[in-house]
Amino acid sequence: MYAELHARSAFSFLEGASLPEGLAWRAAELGIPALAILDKDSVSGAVRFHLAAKKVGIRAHIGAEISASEGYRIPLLAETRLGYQNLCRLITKIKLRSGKKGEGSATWEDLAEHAKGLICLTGDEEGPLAYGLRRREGPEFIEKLTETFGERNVYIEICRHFDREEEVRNQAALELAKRFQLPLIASNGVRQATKDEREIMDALTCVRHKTKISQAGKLLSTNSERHLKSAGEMKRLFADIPQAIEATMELGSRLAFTFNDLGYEFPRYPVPQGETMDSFLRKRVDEGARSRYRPMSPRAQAQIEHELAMIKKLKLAGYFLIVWDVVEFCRHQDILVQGRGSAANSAVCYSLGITAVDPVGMDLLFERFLSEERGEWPDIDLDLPSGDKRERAIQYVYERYGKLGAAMTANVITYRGRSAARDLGKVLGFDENELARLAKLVPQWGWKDPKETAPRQFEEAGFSLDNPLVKKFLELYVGIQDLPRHLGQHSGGMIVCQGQLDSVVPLEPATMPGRIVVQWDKDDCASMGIVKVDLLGLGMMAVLEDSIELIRTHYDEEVDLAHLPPDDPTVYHALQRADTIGLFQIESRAQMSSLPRLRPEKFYDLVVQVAIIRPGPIVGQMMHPYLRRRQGREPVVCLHPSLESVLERTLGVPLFQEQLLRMAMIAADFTAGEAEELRRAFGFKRAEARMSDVEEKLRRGMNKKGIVGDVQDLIIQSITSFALYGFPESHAASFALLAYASAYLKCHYLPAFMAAMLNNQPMGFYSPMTLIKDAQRHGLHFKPVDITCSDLLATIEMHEGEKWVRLGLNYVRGLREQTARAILDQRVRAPFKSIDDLKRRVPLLHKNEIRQLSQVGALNPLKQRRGFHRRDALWESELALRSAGPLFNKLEETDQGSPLKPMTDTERLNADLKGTGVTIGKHPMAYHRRRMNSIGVVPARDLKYLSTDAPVKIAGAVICRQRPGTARGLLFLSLEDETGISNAVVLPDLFERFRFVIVGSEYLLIKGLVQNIDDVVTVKALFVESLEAEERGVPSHDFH
Amino acid sequence: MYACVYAPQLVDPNTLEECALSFSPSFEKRDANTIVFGITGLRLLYPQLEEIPRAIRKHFTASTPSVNIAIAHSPDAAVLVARHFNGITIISEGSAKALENLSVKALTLSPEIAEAFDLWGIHTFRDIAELPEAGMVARLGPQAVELQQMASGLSRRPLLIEKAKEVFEDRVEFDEAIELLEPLLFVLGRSLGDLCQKLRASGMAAAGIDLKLDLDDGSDFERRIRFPFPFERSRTLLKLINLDLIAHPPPAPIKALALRLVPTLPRVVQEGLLTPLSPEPDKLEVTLARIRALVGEGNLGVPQLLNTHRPDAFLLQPLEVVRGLRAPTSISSDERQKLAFRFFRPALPADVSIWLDRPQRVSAHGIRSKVVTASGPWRASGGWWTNIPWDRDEWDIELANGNLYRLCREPDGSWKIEGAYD
Repeated sequence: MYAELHARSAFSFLEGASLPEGLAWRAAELGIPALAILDKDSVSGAVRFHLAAKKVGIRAHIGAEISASEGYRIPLLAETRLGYQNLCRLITKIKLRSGKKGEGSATWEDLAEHAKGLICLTGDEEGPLAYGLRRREGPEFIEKLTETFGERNVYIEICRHFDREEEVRNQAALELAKRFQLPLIASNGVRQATKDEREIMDALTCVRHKTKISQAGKLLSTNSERHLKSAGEMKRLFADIPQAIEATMELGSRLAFTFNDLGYEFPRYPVPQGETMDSFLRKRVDEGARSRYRPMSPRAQAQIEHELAMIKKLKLAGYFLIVWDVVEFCRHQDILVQGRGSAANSAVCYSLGITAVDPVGMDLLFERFLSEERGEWPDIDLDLPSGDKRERAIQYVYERYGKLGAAMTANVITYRGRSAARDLGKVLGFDENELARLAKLVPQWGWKDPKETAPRQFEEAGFSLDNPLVKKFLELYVGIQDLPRHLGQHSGGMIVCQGQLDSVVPLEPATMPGRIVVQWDKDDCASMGIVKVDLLGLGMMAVLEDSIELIRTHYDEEVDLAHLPPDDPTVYHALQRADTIGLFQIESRAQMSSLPRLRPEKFYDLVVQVAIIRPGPIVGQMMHPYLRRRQGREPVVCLHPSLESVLERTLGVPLFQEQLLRMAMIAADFTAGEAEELRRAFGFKRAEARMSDVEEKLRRGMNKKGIVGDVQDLIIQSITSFALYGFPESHAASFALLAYASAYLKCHYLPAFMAAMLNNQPMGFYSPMTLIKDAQRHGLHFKPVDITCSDLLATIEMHEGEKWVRLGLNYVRGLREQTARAILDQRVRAPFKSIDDLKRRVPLLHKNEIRQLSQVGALNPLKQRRGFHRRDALWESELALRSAGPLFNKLEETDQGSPLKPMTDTERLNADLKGTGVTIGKHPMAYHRRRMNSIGVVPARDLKYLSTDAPVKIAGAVICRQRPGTARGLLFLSLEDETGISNAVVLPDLFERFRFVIVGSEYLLIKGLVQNIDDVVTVKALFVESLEAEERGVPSHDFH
Repeated sequence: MYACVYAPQLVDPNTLEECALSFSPSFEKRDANTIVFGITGLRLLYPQLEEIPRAIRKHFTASTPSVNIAIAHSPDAAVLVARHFNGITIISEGSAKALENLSVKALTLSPEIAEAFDLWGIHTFRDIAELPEAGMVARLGPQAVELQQMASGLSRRPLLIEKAKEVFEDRVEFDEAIELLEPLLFVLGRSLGDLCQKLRASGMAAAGIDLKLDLDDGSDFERRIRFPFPFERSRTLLKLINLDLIAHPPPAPIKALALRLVPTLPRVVQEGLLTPLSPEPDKLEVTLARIRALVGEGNLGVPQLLNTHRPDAFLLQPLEVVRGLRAPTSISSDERQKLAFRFFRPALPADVSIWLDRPQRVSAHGIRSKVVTASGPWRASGGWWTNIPWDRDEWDIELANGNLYRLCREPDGSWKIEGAYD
């Protein structure tokens, strides 16, 4: 038998060619009973390796290659849990000491400090022995290693890759082993699972060294021998040293540490004397419940008791208290916070103020959040305003649990699509032009034409597959997919630990200052049972928070989001008309086209609305049956009478994950935990064996209850098709709350809502330009950027008794924030008298900044002269930019006026769009209306008066192009004119015909047929042409 | 007065220069398609101004597409008009009107000024002309004056005269086709003598020779010889051509020859007092040419090892004579331990008998023995991204007589002895 105890995976980032799963699978195939992955200063792939090894039935040993300051790498294996902890601490120490991502090395002192429980191999050509031998200091290095790790814990490693130099080293190693009485151990210094992957390894080497394959020379592998080899092959290679093979099994048996014994402990929440965490939690929940449930219902009380009992049983009180602590911090700091996801199923979370949805009132299923059977930590996601406030919450967690007690989870950036195409293209020596063409071959749109085979695509792009480089590109492109490129930072996932997190997983600095990340991603953390709290930044939270502040200042009113009027008719009227531009989650075109059909009348309708435009209901074909039933066009029938209580509120159509669980519980007598297990089994794409087991169980359960035949099949089908994409009801409810709040603010406090929206871009579905145009159609007035009164951000100003929105200096493109702040500082001291005065007092102002300010009209108010226009400002500012020199500095400015003509309407519009991305003047299409009328183009506003199948022409600025994967190649276009937005749908054949016009034009004219169903108007395009316009285009959001 | 010819679709780059030279000894070539020259002196030949552009037009065949000819009082005005007005245009002095509708894009503007004009709404020459000069200068600097003068048609500047490139070419046609090298060399010698004299007179030397022979069978025969150093002696050049033609004889009798020397600056070297003597470049090059003629093109040079795992992969670089001695690079202790290896060129094909995957006996030309010791295989492969990937196994073997050889097995299974260890 042979165990491979020195392999690198692709988690050595560009220094290994196979995923841990690939290595484990191949080892099992070759009959290798145990495998150790030692990645470079990392255990990033260790969890995936551990899980994969478990699956294929081999033993996974954990270790790492540690970079030493002299440049070699010391392979270390974790023998015990202490050894693993030492390894993690060692990696953390060197990574944090360097302070730079991906750097750091260990000194002999570091190694000695963390040596306990670790076993050292002397390594291959990059190892310490090879380094010592090159310096003729082999014995000295062996002495150092044995002194550091102990004589029992150093193994002389020998590899045989059919290389002369290596064999010379091996002979020296044999002598040293004899001299120092150290055991010899064979390894193959594995870099890839199979022989063929050597090509990927070579390509990655080139990426790492930023060189082309034709110039990489001796950086590439000498041969293809560094793959996993069977015991037979290894025995043949080491026929003269059989003890080196035997030693692999002996050492393997010494390596007792596995990830089953990680030793992670969630931090205990400090509670006052005399309290336990459970009693303290109960008190906090009781306090909260009293204010949330007024009056407290017996149902709510019972649910809280049930949850608290479960929390106590699972010893999770600390976790809930820690999340509560973060939420409390946010409350005290006036940071808006709201829990989302399955936590909204919990009455305890609701009582603690973590979530805002009442799960009892909405009859939500707690077990979707927490169940005894699952044996996993619950997952609480907190939404925070994006930006500084979220960062404050993150820094609070760091401070609270210490630098080594909390960290962000990692995000493994893998090779996908264009990044793979670009890197490989460079390696194979394609030029910039070819690289761009290769990158374009990667499908840009969500939907992929089945006719678009790789050879056809390559030929169309001018690449012949007869060219060996192109052929290799294609092979490597496929092979490199999903290989890790580097470790990034997850957007908000934080983990904390009792004691030191660095003894559980190595920590390293992120690129972002002040951030520390662990080497595992969120799935790894979940697999290892490490609790994660997601602190997610949500643009809409920031908008709500800013709106409330603006309302407080300018309306002198206090808006409490928790107590908004629940059934505001204005809000529902707007929702029913799909007047939802800018609203959270219900503003997309697909949402807008279903709103008039669903016609929400109460909050729960909004919950359904949020959930219905999702891949789950669409793929599971639930959306249309629901809408038809909602409109009374289809009878409300239930899959089975016993399921009526579950499906009643969604008119007999399953829409939420919770319903799926309850269906299993009722129809097949599953426990809540078993039902959650079922959801997970169907949620994994490749867990076929697991799925068939669960399905069998489900059928057995239904048989017992007498649900058989077609009905049984139908229930199974609805559960299976839905599990993969279903949306949790609790999550939809949390989002619906935000959607309702945004709608309420837009309907009742439009100026404040708009100012907040403009101040938190980019976010949502539409560009600021479209938001402004929509607000103008709602009667809101805007004022331009003005150097004399604009703030940094958009603000509200009173104008003849009305609230108008003044654009902020932040909308002037190219104006740096520090310059804008300097302008504001100076303005507070004294108003600016002239452009020259502005330039003199704000020396930070660059030429481009002052030109930009002049161009967008922000400097016009600086001259009191009548008719002073933007070009006058440009003329003057150009002079201000050129210093007259000290001699003339004190000379009075002579005002002779500028010889420049004022901008035309089109020029002014273009200057606005170029300089700020928005215009508060007329919509560009308004300038073409007469022409449009003459050729019979119908404005967006009037489309609703046309009936289905009427021929029509529409025209406008393209604001959105969408080709979703679920729409079978249909392209959805949104065109904006001064009256609103018109929507068109382009069939795949037509898209192919007009691809370049559709993708390349900023303004389009479409001829087609009206489809007017339930007040939702879409134009089925028959002909598309580019609309000639001098105006710049409006920013368009194109979605894949 | 100045004439400008603008031919946007011109194929032969020399046509414009030839046209200009037939009217004026000096001209300014703006770009490959635009040339401008003075025509004041032509008024004696062509009393009517209109006759001049017509005469110029005659230089171009009727098939030459779109040639614009402009006559104006300044070179800049002539160029602008020729580039933007089709056919023949004559504008009189100070007639800014003719230019006023031209786009500012017709001027060569710095990005900064172009941006300023764009922001100011300055789109045409008239817009520029109307701007106050002082205001423009204060904002755009002194080049604003120049721009305004150009836009107003008032620019006054002399031609930027370009000297025609000297050509060192000769062509000789023979009454009878020459079959032997000797008479050809005789003619070449005379031509080279003249051309070298002309070269020296221009302070230049030859960096190479392009020789084109028209053959009796209607085909062309071309030789392109480049030298590592500039030469100026006709004898040396003749010898080099001689050796090259010996190595590459023309396949048919010669009807005509065209010879062109590639001019370059001569090499000036100040030898040091203590610098050891090295062969004169001319003589060295002649010697190398002689060897090249013997061993074949591509088989002479300085070997340079390639950066690859493939053993014995090298490239021949041209010989470069380095003045002064270089200190030998230090050899690492590892290198010193290694045995020197002597490549057999070509490698010896061998028959090898194998036992338990190891060579047992080997026989090749002059070698036939039992293998006493064999170490290997040493395996290397690469070039997987090319059409010719390579893959090889090597063995180091010791024969009964104590000699050490390197055996190599190719992917097709054939064996070769690549060389011996000293």
